[in-house]
Amino acid sequence: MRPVAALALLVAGCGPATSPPPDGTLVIAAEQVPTWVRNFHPYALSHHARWPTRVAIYEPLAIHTPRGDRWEPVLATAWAWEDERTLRLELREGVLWSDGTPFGAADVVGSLELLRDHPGLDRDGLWRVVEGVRARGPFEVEVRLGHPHLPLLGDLLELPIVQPARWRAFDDPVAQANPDPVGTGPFTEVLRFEDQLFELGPNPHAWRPSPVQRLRFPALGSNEQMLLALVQGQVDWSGIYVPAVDRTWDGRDPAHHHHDFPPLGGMVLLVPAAHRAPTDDPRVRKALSLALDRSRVLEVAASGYAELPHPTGLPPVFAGWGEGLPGCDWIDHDPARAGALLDEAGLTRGEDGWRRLPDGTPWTPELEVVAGWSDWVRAARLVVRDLRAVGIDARLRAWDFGAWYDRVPRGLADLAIGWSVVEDDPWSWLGDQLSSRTLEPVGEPASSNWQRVADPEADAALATFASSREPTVRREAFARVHARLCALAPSVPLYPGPSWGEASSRRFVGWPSADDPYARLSPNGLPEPWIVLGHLRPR
Amino acid sequence: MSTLVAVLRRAGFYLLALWAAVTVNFVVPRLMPGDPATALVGRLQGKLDAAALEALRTSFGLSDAPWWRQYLDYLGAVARGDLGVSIAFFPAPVTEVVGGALAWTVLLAGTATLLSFVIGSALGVLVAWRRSGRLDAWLPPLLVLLGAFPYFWLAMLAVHVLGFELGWFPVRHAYDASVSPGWTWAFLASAVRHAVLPALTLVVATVGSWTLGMRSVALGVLGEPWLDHAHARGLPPSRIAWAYVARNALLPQLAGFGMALGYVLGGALLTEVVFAWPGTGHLMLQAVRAQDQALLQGLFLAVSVGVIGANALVDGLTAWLDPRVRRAA
Repeated sequence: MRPVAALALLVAGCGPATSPPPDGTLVIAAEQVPTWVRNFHPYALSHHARWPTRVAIYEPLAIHTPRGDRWEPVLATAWAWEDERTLRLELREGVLWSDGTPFGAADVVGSLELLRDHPGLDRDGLWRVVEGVRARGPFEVEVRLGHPHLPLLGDLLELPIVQPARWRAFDDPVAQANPDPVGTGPFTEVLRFEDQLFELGPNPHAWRPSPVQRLRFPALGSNEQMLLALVQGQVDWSGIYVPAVDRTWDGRDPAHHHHDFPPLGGMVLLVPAAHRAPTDDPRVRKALSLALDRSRVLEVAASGYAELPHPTGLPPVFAGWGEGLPGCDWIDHDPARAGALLDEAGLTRGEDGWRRLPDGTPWTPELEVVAGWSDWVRAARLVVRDLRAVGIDARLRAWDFGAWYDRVPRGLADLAIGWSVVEDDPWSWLGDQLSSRTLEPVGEPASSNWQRVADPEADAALATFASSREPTVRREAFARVHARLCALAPSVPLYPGPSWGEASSRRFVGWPSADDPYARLSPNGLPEPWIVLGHLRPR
Repeated sequence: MSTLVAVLRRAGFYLLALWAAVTVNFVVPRLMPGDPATALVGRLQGKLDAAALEALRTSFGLSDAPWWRQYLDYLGAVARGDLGVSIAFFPAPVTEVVGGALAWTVLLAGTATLLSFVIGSALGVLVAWRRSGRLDAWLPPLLVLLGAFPYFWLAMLAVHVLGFELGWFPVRHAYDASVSPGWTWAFLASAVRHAVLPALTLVVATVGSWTLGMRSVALGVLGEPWLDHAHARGLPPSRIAWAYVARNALLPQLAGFGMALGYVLGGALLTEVVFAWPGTGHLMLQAVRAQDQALLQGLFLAVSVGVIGANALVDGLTAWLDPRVRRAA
């Protein structure tokens, strides 16, 4: 029994098991990683660089928040199209880099030119559209486009700005971990960096200093650990899925624990193979949609956190664009109409009750999901059940992510549960649904448009939408694309995905809330949390 | 002379084993379906310009060269100690990523394995010595029962009760945030305190198998006629139990211990996930998810070298414990 006594001594002699974070230190758990690797590369893929890189160290020209579909000026104070191909940027004066040197137009021009010379850094493909960039004055920049393309604005404004000379000096700016960053953001000094924890201190030259003294980032590799740390008061801000959030999080300290799960994430879709019979027939795709009991899916798969898709089928972020547009008549639960549409398409029920292809062969589509993405697997089970209820002999097929991602983007799956990326401009989202821009041949991986629908009418309308500055022309073009979306049903919206955010106001206040919805609480959409960081102050 | 030949033969065998392990390391990650670079982007549910992706593929060191070319390059690189660049932690080299985690894993899993082996084997001798006694009746079944619990559940229970509800132990990380690694009392005390709970769960889950193994071998030894001789000569029972029975029964156990020790380098996946321990097991999970071939190869290499090294160690230990092995060699 002696070891037990020794253990008891150890326990009693050391005070609390985990020391609380010091006052003024904001603890953030935004990345799910077992150990930290020191990387502050602003153009790296988002999970290669540490979270604060684009939120607290480097700053873009402006930041978009889907909350209210609003732009917050950062290093630029104003921007405007002079004509369809010329964008004028006015920059903020009096900004210093964390090494004390002044910021100006040359930095913005140089950052863009750095991307031009190193394609591995140009993640959004800006230089496919940009023709040239030059400084018109110490705080004025002109960006010239090769062809009119308004949706470029979002990617351009959110591009982090770096010191070009410093980056040109690196041997290989792509394979650069940038361990000691120099930025314009509020927190630029790396105070400590260890396997399981790192901390950032304030930028001595910050143009917008924060009353928060220090940021701390513990390495937590799982949802469970993050939730535990939140509940223990060891973490102030996180963005994880929390089951039964009212009980497990809010209920533990109703005065201080907050969560915010607005439906402003990407849209979760049922993706049919539109390049292959029988799902090449829009009537069949609409029938798939009409067969679904989405309220059950929301309840069971999304724990009641999500909401039904808008009748227009558009993600809630684009609600403003969808105003006044007629809904698509197939985003509804109507098994009888689903059956009628399938009959009409020649997929009639055989003697055994299952629907057959017009030539009489059995139709047994497989719905492919990622094994382990439990919310989507639950959704897929319900989808299969609903499809079987209208006579489609559908089966569920779960793959490991690698295998799934090797099949679905190539168009090899009959049906799949997929996602869609929602950015500030609807052009990109609509194009992902039905434009020839995103169409890849079957067998080639496509980054979106896995259903492989390309519609010439939609292409033309999208081109007008992208190139015109006239609001009425854009609105009219948007309506035309949307009409095609309703007519073709390229993919079937299941529900708009929530963006997860939890915060505690025990030590810091100023979080976005229903009363003060200035941004999303979720720390997961970069660089939007920069806005939240700017509102926080110690209690 | 014959000893030298035997040692050389052994060394040759280990070299062959190492080559086989390195080759398997090369093949296995490549059997995973899909392209690591595209999967990396896909996992983010984001987008990447096609030209940027192509440029990144080159930076990641992904090549379309024929497999034999890649294999030769890989062998050469391993010989030089260059394990490539991790895709999941780009642009960090694999050696750097693995190196940090390895130390924490050896500390936790190594200590736990050693403790489990020592405690389990000692208990095994004890229950065998007092066979059919009260201890023998309830201890082995109890330990087996504990070992039969799903480890994940056991660890979660420990975290919940001892860590969260009672607050006796920290429930995450290898040391407290208020200290930084270094040779200070504060850090060492914090590290020990953080290791107690995860190590305890590991020992509880594995000690039963050592006890059971030791017990059955010791029972066999106890039936040997030379033990009667030892009793007859009037040797004290404790000396017979530990210096004779235990020493003889330990030999078969050692082989298993060598294997267990080697696998330590692979990390204790579940322990590390539950306790947010910055070790190699957690890293391996991350590498598999990201299809990070270079990192997987690096981790497998560490495990292979660990198993082979531990086997060499056990070979030496067996020879030291058992004069018959020395003479045969």
